[in-house]
Amino acid sequence: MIRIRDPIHNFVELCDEERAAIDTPVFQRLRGIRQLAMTYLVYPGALHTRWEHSAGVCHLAGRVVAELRSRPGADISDGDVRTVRAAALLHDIGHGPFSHVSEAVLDQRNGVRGVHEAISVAIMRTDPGLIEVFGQAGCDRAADLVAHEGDFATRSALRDIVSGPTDADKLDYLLRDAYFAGVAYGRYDLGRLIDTVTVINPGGAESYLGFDADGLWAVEGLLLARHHMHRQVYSHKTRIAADIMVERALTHGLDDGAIDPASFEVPLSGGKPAPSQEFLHAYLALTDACVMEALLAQPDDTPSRQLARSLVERRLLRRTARISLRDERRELGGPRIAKILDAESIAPTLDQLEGQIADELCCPPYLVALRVEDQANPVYRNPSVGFTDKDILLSFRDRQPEVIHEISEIFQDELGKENKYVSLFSPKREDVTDEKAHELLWNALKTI
Amino acid sequence: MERPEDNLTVRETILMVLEAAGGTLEGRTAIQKLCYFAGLVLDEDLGHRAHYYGPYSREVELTLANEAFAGDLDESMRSFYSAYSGREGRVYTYTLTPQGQDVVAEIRNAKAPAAARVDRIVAQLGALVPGYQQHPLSLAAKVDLILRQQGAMMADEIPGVAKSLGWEVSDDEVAEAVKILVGLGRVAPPEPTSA
Repeated sequence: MIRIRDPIHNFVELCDEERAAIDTPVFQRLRGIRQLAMTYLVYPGALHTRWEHSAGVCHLAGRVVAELRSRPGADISDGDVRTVRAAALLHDIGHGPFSHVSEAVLDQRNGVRGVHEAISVAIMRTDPGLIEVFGQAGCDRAADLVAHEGDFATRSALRDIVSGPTDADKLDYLLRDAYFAGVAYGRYDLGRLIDTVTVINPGGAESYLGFDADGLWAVEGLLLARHHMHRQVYSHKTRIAADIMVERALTHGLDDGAIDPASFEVPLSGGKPAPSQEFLHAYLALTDACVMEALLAQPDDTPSRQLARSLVERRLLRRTARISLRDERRELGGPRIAKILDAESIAPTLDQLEGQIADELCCPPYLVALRVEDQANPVYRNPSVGFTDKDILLSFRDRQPEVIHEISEIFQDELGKENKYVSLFSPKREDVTDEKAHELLWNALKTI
Repeated sequence: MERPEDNLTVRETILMVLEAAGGTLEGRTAIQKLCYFAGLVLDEDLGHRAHYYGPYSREVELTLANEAFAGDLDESMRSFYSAYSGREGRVYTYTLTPQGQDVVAEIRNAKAPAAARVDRIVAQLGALVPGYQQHPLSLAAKVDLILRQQGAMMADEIPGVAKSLGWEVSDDEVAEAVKILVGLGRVAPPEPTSA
C-alpha cells in the first residue's frame, strides 16, 4: 500500500496494484492534462491535473464502497471493491489534451457523442501496462463498469459510485477544483455525505446509490456547492473565452496539420466510436504542453498559431455583449428565441453570423464567437450517465424512497426562474464601444 | 449526434408529441415517457437512460424547459396534497401555444412521415392509457427498457420480472403495463390458456 499526500483528502491510500497502475505510462500521461484546461488564466492556482483527480476519485470511491460494505446485509465482495476502485482510478484515462475542451472537438469532428469515454474504455481493455497490473479480466470488469456493459449493464449502487448523480468523480472534482481555484464555493460536508450513503434496492437487479433521509442537508450542500462552482468558476466568462480559444486552436491545428489529424479521427463501428490501436497510439502521444508547442511552431499567419500565441500571452477574447433572451422576448419574438435555443438547428447558421460580425469588426472569423449561456447548463457531461441531481434518492424508514427534488425545500422545481443569454465573444478594441458590440449582436440575432 | 435530415430533432419530437396528444399534457414524467416511445418508433436515441421512475432523458428535460422559455409551450404548475407521501406534490402542465402550433405545422409539412409515426404511437398510447396517466406510462416504459436490455420477452414473463426487480406495483398495474406493451406490439401477447 502507498499513502500519497493530497491537499484535499490529506492522504490518498492506494493498494499495491493501484500503485503499479499509477506508474504506467498511460496513467502518468494524465500529469500532462490539466483538470480545468486553461482556467488558470482566470484562477491562477487551477493548475491541477487529471492525475491527482483520478487518484482522489479512487480514494473516494473506496471510502463510499467501504461505507456501504459496512452496512448490515451488504453484499459487496472484495472483487467488487477492487473493480469499483480500479474503474474510479481509470475513469479519466482517455482524457485528451485540455480535458473537456478536446472532448467537444472529438465529438464534433467524429459526429458522435461520448468519444472520450469510449477511448477510456478502449485503453482500459487493451493497454498492456494496465493488463499487466490488473489482469485482462480485471481490466475488462473495470471497463464494463465505466461503460455500463456486461454485469454493469443494469443500474446498480456500485455503478452509481463511478458514474451516477453523486459519483465519486463529482465528490472529488468539486472539492479539488474549488481548492485549486482558490474559491470557497465548492465545499460541502463530505464526511456526513459518506456517513449517510446507502444502497436503495427495491429488491431485485436494479439498485441505486442513495442517502439516508438524515443526509438531506449534506446532499443539499453538495448540490449548492455544485451550483456555486458552476456559476463562479466553470461558467466564468473569461474561462469560457479561454475555452473557445483553445477549442478553435485545436480545430485549426488539426486542419492545418500542426496536430496529427489521425489523433482525433476515431474509427466508428455501428455509428459508435471504436478506437483502434493505431488511433490510440496517436492519441496517447498528446498532452496539453506538446499540443501547445506544436501550435506555436506553426507559421506566424496561421489561425492555430495566432490563437495559441494569444493564449500564452493571455490576450483573451472578451465577452463584449450579452443579451438576455427573457428581457428581449417581446422584441426578438418567441419563434426566434426557440430557434436560438435549439442548438441542432442553429448550428449551421452560427458560422455565417460570426463571419458577418467579424467582417464588421475587421477581424478574422475565428476571433468571433456566439454562445448561448444557460444558467442550468450541466457541468457533468458524461452522456452515458444522462441523468442529473434530480435522480438522487433518499431512503426513508416508513415509506418508499423519494427523489430529492420532491423533498428538498431548496431544490424543489420552480417555474420562471430561468434566464438565458446570448453572448458575443470578440477581441476587445478601443474603437468598438459596448453599444456597438451590442448592436452587432442584436443585428445578428434579428437575422435568425 | 448525426440524425437523418428527415427525422425529428428532440425539440420537434416534443412538439409533435404534445400536438398528437391533443395540445396539452399533464406531468413532465408523462412527456418523458411519451417521448421515450416516440424515440423508439423514430429510431432515434433521445437520451433516455435508466432512472428510478423509468427511462428519463436529460436532453428531453432541457429541451422542454427551452420550449417553455421560448413560448412554444405554456408551462403551469399546480400543487396538490399527496395522500401517498403525506405532503404537497407538484404537477406541471404543458400546452402547445399558437406559436408552437405554427412550428408543428412546419414539421408536418417538412417531415410528414416522421410526424405521422409520432401521431400513430401517441394515438395508440392514448387509447391504451386514457389521459396519458403518468404511472402506467412509467411502468410500461420501465418494463420496455428492461425488455430491451434483457432481450425479447413474453407478456407472461413481465409480472415475474417486475417482482424480481422488487417494484412496488400491484398485479393490476403490472397487467396494465402488459396490456400497453402488447397493444404497442412491443411484446408478444400472453399464450391462451387451454381448457
